[in-house]
Amino acid sequence: MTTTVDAERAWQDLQRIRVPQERVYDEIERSAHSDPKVTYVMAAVMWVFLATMGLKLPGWCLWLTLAAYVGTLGSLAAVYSRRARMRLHRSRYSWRSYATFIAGMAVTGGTILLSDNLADAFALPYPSLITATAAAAAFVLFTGPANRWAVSPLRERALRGHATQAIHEEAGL
Amino acid sequence: MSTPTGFDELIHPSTRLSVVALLAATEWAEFPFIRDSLSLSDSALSKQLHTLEEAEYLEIRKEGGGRKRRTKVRLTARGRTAFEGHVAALRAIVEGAGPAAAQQTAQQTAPEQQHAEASR
Repeated sequence: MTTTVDAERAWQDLQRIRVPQERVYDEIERSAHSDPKVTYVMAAVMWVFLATMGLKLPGWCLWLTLAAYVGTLGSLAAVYSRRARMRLHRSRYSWRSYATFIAGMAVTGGTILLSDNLADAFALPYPSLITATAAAAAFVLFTGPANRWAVSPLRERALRGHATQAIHEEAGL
Repeated sequence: MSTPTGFDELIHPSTRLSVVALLAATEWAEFPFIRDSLSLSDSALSKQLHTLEEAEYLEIRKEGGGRKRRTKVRLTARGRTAFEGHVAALRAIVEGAGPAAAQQTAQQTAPEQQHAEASR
């Protein structure tokens, strides 16, 4: 059996495709705008790790702390991933997502280096606590807005692609 | 009127088209997310998913057990290719209809689009 489709039905089908895809972007934006708990937990874990680095611990103990830190971050990522109801297809992400990840590392790393140098230069007490607090604060302040910035163009990008194709179709007729 | 190459009879029904369109934007999606997004009943969605699974257009994976059991649905490479081909075929039909028909259909669907945007 073959189905014949006229232009009107084909156009309606093309429009129909948009609706479920909008729901996907609704979910992505909802995730980016809510649930800051994971950010606070990651910042708290980072604070503990950086504060521990300031203690005069033997080498093996520092490696153990590093392993525990990486393991905790991995567990958090697994838990957060398990809570998600869907994952956006990799082709739908924009350069902003990758830029946010790199910028996050740069901001946190830069804050650690800067606060460590300042604490040393001014001979402040408990330099590792100052560094840990500054880095955790920078991480919390950066993550929320950066995530929202990263996901904000995704819907528009997808719809613009659709609209551009529609305009192209009409112009090319 | 003949249908262009790539037109997929299996994806063509509106519910299946919506399911595949949603999955095309995702790596995977959970069953309740698809059901809620498309306002379908469990049984209606399950039926469509199994039809698409039989055609190897998607994979259904069950994880965990008991109350934490989760059903994840993923479009296969074959399903993704079929969807892209179907969309290309729909565009070819619209293109082939001529400017008057395209303009007419655009005017007719404009209120529907406004309604869809308003309901977001």
